[in-house]
Amino acid sequence: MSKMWIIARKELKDNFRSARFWGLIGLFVLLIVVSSYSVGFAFRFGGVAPAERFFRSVGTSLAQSFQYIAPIIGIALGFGVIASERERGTIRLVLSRPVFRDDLLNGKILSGIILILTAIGVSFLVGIPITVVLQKANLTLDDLIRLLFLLIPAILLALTYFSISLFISVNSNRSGYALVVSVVIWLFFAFIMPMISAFIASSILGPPPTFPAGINATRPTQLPPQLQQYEQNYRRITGTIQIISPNSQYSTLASAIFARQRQQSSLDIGTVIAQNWVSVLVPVVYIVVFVVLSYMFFVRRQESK
Amino acid sequence: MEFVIETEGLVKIYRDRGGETVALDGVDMKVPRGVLFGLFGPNGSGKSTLISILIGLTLPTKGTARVLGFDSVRESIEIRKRVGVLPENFGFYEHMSAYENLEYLAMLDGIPESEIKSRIMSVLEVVGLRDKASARVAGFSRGMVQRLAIAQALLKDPELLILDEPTIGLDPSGSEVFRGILRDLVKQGRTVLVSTHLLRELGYLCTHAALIRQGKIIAQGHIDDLSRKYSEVKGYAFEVIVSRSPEEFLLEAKQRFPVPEASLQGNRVILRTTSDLSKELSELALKYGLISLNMLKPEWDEIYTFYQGGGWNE
Repeated sequence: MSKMWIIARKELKDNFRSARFWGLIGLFVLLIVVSSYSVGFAFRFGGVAPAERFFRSVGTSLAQSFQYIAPIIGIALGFGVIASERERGTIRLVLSRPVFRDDLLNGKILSGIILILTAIGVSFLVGIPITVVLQKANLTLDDLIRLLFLLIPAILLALTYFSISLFISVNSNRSGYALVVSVVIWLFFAFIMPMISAFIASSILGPPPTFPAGINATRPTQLPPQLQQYEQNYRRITGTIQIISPNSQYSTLASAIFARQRQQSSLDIGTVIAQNWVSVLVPVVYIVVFVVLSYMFFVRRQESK
Repeated sequence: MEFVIETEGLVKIYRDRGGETVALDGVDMKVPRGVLFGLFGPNGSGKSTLISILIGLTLPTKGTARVLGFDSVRESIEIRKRVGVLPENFGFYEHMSAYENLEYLAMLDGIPESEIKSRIMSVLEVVGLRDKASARVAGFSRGMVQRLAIAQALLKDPELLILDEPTIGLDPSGSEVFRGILRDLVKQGRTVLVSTHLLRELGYLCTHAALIRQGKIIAQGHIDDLSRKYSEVKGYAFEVIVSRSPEEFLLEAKQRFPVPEASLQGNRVILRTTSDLSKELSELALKYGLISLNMLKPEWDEIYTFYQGGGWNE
């Protein structure tokens, strides 16, 4: 058995036996169910037809849930990969054996990928049926396909944060430090960057034009042209600024899979990806860059103390 | 003489934003096969860095190190296949049992799966933890963890063991158990390199030693040679026990030989002389009913202080 697989197997065994891992998945299932239910509840009050209810409630809330779940899974599985081994001193026992440093990292990455797939897969497989039953929604084959394709951006987002946390972990002696830095990066992309982009867009475009008299501003059927133009410009600026945000790219891809394609008879994933290739490319670039950097730094680093 | 470890001009400089730290400064060290070799020095003297280089965890800035004939930089994997190591600041996976920890490490050692169980039980037997095989390491005392650490180093049945500060944190009984294990390992014909700053703990067990200070080896060789050189300069100490008139024996010894220091405790006379007077003193003591005469070995911290030319920096 290769050293990489021995290491991966041990990591998998540790996690599959840990209450923390399954507790996290339980929390995600709860998040999926509760958020779907609350959104569905709001839609029922809004008079949305049952056939549409599934997509507009479950689809939207599921996409939103994974926006939080995926980074948390990535960070939870990445921050301690090397830093906690250093902290506990186990890395010195492992590396004093005939093990190459890249074997250790390969084993950790392999197990990380498997655990991410498991966590997202199990959350999905348990959360969706519960949600469907609670919402009394009709699930068509096309709905199911769209839901399955939502896993692509979710997994990409989780792997992005896993690779970022891995890089931080490789360069840290304390897992707590690696966790804090990883969470700060997530907070930056999830909350601070949208605020910064909104601030910049507002500064460039100035205040939005006022509604013309006679239009109900609270529930307009169609926005007046000057407001549509303003909104388009606003979205273009914030989108340009947030192009480096994996969270923003996830939202774009998830929306493309769910909301915008809903009017078509069935999902054409090839078209979705072709139209949103940047949203696939950005997380892939993050993953490749941070994994390569992790290799470079880890292989060069010497465990002196 | 065959050497299992040979270093030549080993230099290690750590560079960071704060500047440079010279951890090793031209270390030449030779460890003969089949001995218990002590690497003695205070904290921060470069012992752990030297050991890290020997097993390929750290790269030297300059110089070479060969362990069992393999180069520590280019062939570190070959070294780690053959050498059992107890590194400093090590730790076990506390959520796992002693057996599971050893099983994982044995697999990384490349031990065939069919042999792993018997090998684990045999090393646990050596360190007296066989009945704790299925217990979680989290519940182990410091002494038990240290014994488990010896067990993991023995897994691959190595001809050379490198133990870095193995007695840190052990209570007196734990230290005694550990010393017993060390004695047995050497009896089995293994070479053991043990590094420590606790000279009194392990010093007298070793047959060979190297004294390291500020990254430099200040003395090395057979223990007898090191202590002889000390005695030649600092003098010899004898313990003589006689059955009759120890006071008169002491007086006569002082009159006949150059004895700068002497003391009397019951019928036990301690004499410090400037030369080796064991023959002369035993002849004299016969007149007073000689029971025993021993040349006292100097304490290791005295020897260290002598070689470093300063105080013991603890």
